[in-house]
Amino acid sequence: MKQLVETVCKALVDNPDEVKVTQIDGEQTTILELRVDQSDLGKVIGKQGRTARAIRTILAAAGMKQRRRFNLEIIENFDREEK
Amino acid sequence: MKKEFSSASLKEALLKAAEEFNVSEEDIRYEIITAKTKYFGFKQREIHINAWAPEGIDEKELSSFINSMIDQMGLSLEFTLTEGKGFVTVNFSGEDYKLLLYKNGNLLNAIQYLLNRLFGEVVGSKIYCECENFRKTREQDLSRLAHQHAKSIRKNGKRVTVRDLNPFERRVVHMIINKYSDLESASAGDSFLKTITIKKK
Repeated sequence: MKQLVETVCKALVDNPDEVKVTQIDGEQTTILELRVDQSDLGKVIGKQGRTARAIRTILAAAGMKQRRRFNLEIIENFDREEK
Repeated sequence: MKKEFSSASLKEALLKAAEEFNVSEEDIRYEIITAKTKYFGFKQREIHINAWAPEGIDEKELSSFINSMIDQMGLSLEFTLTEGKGFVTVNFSGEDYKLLLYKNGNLLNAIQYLLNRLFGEVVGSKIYCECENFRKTREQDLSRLAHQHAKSIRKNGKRVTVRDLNPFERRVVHMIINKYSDLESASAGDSFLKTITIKKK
């Protein structure tokens, strides 16, 4: 499942090398943490979150087949010092 | 390959672009960057556009992407590609088609949206995803529903709301209600899915 998010996001962004997905397995749910380059954040989220929603829909469908819940978290690491 | 062109009018700019890319003028895709009117004693307009020529859909790339996506999702689905003028249809079939159509074709729409985001703009054609005639059936269902609602409103005058429709579905309902001269329809809400209210004028 980690691979799925990686393939889709790598195709979406400008800097595919910066796409990193970490998988955290729970009892029933799996959390997928997605990190992308700061400039690509908008690309994986999309207008009104449409792209993010589409990825989540795809994960949910795959989860139904595997009887597992998948959570996609888009991690934004902003620099506090800059502000 | 995008390139910038500027000229006095849109038409001239498109002609320039067509010459540059060596394709006919109608095939050029473009977006307008700025269109401004200068005043130097006399009116002079200048327009900047970003133009590119559609490269035609790369079927291999598209199908290998869909294949890897289906694989990694662990679904058993097959698909066929059909190319038409200005659009490509991806027709899904197979064991897990019900998952595609679950919740009003949620997954089908998500895949269609993603494919268009990834391939649509470059190739200059729209990608439609279809499965078991879902879109046609949905259109028929909605039009039947709209006609039913129209009749009931004429009878008892109560307004009716239809919930959670995407733009395509809203279009179908609006077009039908438009045919009834004594009824009107309006969309409400600000998310992607909106509610339509149908009532007497």
